[in-house]
Amino acid sequence: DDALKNPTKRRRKNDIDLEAELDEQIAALKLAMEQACINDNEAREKGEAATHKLKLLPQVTSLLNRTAAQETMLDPETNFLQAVRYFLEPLNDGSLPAYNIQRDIFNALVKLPIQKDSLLSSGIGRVVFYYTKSKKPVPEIKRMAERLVGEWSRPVLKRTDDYKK
Amino acid sequence: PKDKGLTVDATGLDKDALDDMEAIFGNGEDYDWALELEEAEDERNREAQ
Repeated sequence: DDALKNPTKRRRKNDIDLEAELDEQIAALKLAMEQACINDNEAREKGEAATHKLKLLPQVTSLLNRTAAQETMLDPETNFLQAVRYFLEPLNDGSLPAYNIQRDIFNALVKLPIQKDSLLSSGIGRVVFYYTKSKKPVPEIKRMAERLVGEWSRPVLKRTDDYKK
Repeated sequence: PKDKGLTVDATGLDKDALDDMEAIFGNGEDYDWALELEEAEDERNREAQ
């Protein structure tokens, strides 16, 4: 019996370690992303190219596309989506972040099961809604933004519908 | 006229749903500054032509 139980226990402990590691990794990346946004805005103000976000983009994209990290990422307490929101925000001069940033992040967002609580804590819906209103994004990006606004508003609108019945 | 882009049809929504929509997507003020910069830029481009 013990022989059967012990491996399970060990596995659980490993799971916990991995989870803690993932938490740390996500928290560190979130901080780096926030700093990159500040640095990019400063670079633009000095007339330099904004490259800090682009440098971090591969890491951000690989995390967003990692199924095993989804739960932690979407946890409103971790609030990783808030840093993702900052990545998509227009810079101080009103310009959009680089096309690669928009493309990779929107491609990842449309695949994520984002619920109301993460939307509320991150404010990511606000920046996605901005992409539907601005004339700057290319049609491909605008379509993804519109799709997300549709998906995220559906549960809210459906509830009203249900009340009426 | 300003292109409003995607708008949500608010007719028939109860107050809770409207509050939720605003909490999720904002009241349009969050990035208005960027949309205004865009508008001013368009204007300048039109005048330059």
